[in-house]
Amino acid sequence: MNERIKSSFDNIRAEEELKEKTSRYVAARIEKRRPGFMAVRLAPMLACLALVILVGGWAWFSPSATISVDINPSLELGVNRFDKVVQVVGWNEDGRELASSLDLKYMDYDKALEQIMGSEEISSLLSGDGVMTVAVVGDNEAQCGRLLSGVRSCTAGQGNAYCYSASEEELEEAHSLGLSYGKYRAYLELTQAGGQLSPDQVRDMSMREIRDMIESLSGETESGSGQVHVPGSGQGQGQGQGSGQGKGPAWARSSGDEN
Amino acid sequence: MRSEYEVNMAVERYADTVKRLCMVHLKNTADTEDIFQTVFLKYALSSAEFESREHEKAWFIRVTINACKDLLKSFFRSRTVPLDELAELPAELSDDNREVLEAVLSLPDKYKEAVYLHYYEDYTAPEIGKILGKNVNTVYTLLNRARQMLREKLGGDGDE
Repeated sequence: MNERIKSSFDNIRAEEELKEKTSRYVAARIEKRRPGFMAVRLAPMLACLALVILVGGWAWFSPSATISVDINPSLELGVNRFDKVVQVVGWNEDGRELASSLDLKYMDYDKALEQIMGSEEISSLLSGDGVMTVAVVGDNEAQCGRLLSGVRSCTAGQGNAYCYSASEEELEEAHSLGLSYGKYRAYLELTQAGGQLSPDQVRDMSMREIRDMIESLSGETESGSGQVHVPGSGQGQGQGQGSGQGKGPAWARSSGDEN
Repeated sequence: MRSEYEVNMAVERYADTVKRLCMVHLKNTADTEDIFQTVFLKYALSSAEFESREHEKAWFIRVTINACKDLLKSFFRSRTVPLDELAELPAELSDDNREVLEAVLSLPDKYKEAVYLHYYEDYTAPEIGKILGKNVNTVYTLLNRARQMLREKLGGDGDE
């Protein structure tokens, strides 16, 4: 009986088709479980995610425009394309002090500006005889226009505040001299008017001092015209400030010419 | 986890054994396919180290028998598959082979697997006890009883 059972079972064999099917099934299943399998599927997704984060991070953290605030403290706010402050740089001693005393990062630019103007130092300067200039610098015209009008409405209550816009190249020149844009502008005005001061000297002067100096230098050539000539859209709201001399600030007058 | 190559080698080596065990326990080819997939996938995912071919073969036998029993135990199957039906046998069998297989497969489950392991795979009673997780004496009893039944069915000379 042993032999009969043996030979009977010997005739039972797995069909090739069954073997192949099983091999294929198992191969497919272990392929899915291999650690590399998930990595291969996830890699493109992760790459996309990384790209989105990189581009988003870059868009968020790179300033697309700069707002330069100068009174005596010179301060520049880097503003990203979402109009948030992402960079605060002080360009002289007072500016650095002011920058470190205020926490302006990631605020809306107008809120940041309000906070600067509301700070004790600035508000006392403004209510005194201080002159404030706010320059909007950037190559994105739409954003600069938006920022400029926002800046103007912020400073609307201030008689001694002046706003204008400028291009990125000018900003670079200013930085190469170690000046904030507002100071650089005033420095150019001063030089043009015949002033002999170096950028280093200008850096720590207040805007009022520079302005007074420009005025005294150009006073001889200026006739009291009673009103400020404002060319160009980038021009600030140079207010005549009713000073009896009937003369607007000379540096504010020429400031719109790049637009 | 084992490589595709290892799995294919194992399929070549043990497919016939698994197929015979399936025939002993199951009645249709769809279930056999299920068992093949279960058993060889388990092998592929298992990290068990085998000391020898015999050890490996015993592992396959045990896993296959368990898989068959699990399949039969499922509630759904117990309600949907007729109980007293013989497995389909290959058409090309000789009359004698067919007679013997039908006799073996008509035995109750616990005798069938003991008969298969003892007469075909040449396992001793203690080895069968180990594989099936049964007492050695139980295995002796099963084998004796099976031998008697087969003799009745097939007539013949009896054996050792």
